Amino acid sequence: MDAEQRSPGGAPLTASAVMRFLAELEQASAEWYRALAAAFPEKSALLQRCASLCARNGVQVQRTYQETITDALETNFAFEGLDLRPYGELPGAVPGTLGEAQRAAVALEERAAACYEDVAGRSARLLATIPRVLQRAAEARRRNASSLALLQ
Amino acid sequence: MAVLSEPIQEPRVLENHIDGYWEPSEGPLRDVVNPAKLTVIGQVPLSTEAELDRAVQAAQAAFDDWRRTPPLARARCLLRLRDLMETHFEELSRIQTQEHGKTIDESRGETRRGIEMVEVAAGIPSLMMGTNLEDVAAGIDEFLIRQPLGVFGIIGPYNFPFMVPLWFAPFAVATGNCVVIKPSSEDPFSQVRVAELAEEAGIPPGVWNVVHGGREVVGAMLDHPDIVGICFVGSTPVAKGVVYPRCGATGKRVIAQGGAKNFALVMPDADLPHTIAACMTSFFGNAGQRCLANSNLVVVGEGLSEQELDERYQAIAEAFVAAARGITMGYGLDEAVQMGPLRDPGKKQGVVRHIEGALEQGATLLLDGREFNLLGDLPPDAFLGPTVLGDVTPDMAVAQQEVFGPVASLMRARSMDEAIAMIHANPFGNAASIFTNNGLWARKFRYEVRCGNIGINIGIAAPMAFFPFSGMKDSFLGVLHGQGEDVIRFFTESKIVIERWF
Repeated sequence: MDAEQRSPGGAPLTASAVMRFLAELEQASAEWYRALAAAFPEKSALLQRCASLCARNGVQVQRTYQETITDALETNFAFEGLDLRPYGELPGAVPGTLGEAQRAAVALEERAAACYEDVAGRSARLLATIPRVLQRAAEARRRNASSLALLQ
Repeated sequence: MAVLSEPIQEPRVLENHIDGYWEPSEGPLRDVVNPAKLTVIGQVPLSTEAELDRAVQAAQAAFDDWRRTPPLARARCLLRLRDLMETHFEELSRIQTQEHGKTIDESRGETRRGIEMVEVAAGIPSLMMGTNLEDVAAGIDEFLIRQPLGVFGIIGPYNFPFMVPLWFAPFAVATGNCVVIKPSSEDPFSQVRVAELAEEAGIPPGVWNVVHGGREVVGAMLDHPDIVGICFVGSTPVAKGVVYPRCGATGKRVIAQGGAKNFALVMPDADLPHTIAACMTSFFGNAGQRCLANSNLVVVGEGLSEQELDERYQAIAEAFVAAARGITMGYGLDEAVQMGPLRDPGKKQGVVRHIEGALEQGATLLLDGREFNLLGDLPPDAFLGPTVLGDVTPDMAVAQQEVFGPVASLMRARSMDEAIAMIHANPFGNAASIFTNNGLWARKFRYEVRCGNIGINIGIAAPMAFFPFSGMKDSFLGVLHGQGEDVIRFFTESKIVIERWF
């Protein structure tokens, strides 16, 4: 994923940078799940569902950002202290076994959920709508992680 | 951190949009410059009076059909325009950054605000309804009908090139009027794109016209006998000295929104982290080029001793400067950037003169924005960093005049009454904010302060599309405001029908 994921001089990341990071995270996650679904057709339904959920998360977060950006600006929306680097790692190639795939997927979901919770927590001070949607995205990712137990 | 792509790739000469056609102007051309990079992104014509007249005649000719178009059909045009704006949301936002210099987050905020105007105006079948009462006398009924008036002129400022004309145009068109928009010649691309989308949305030829230009076109609009009303947003000298009197002389309706000098009162109980955070966007957002920006921060010592007030002032000054120092400056399409340049180097020089004047009058320099670092290899000519002036007193020019740049003046008042007196002594009355957790102080502020838009723990008191954008004193000339119910009344005549049948 693109983005240095931290502002120079430690200044708060802009809303634009954070939202693009999240959109890219969801897009990359969805693509990875589709690749998994192709590699493990016996679990395709579950993996496609995960892919759809990631895609929906991405759309929802982006939509919310665009629809509330005026409130955000007018109440000084800032992600002070946010460092996205720990959340930037994505699973690479499709694993060879379902067991490896499950471990990688659960790790991805937990990382994504933690990312959403981190961002939501740092934006909760002055604004309600965006953190609420981010929390929902985190919950969705945690649900994904639970359902991935069925992979094996 | 990513630098987003620019929608305007090749410089082009802009044309007027008259009667559904894009036409080159015969007037001289002026460069449109991206202020962050100082590159020419296009040329705008300074149109002639004859071209303005043709646009007005086209609008006048379109008016009869358009006013007879059912409100629901007019609303559908606006709903399609709204959908097209959503589709082109990112392009519209990036155009603003490219032509004005604001950050991409600020541009997206402006795009959203503009779209909200179209959304609210699309409710015109309800908004435009009249009233009636049966039996005002026995067997006699009385009706109030709202009817459109004709052709309105809209003159936009440079600081919000996309949004401000949309405070008016969607409502004018929704009520059945036709418009001639003159965008700021400094950043006219946004309104060109809006007009293209309006055409695509099915708004008929002649209803939504754009004529580029400068003072000559403005003068022609003010004097034109077939323009029934003017919506102007700009400086107070022009609003008060030119637009308002000339509209009066020619019998036009007028909304003339001028400049501002907005105060933020920080009470002793204010939550400091929240207050400072809100102040950063208020004082430095849009590089301070915003009529709702606060520019005087008054630390109020209500109930405090002199020493306590001094300590509170020092604490606020330190926190304010620390936050302002952390603002990253550069090209607004760079996602790491939190503040862009001023609109052009000349405007920067004007703001620098205000800073120098303040220092000569005894203000202290807590943060010098004349020295700054930029993110990226950019010409510094139009950039000016956040500047914080301390020990500013109400008699200083910087405390009284509109600076329209990223300059904060920190002041003290021993009491709330003293602070409110400072606001009232200022000729402007656009907005004012108070930061407090005390409901009584908040109510007193809301009740007593003679400013049009009041923020309580809000740094930028920006009214939503369904409320009027208020303003008082030298910040507003006229009776009815833009946006909300006011603007529906502005764009319609209240006709009374009294009816009896034998």
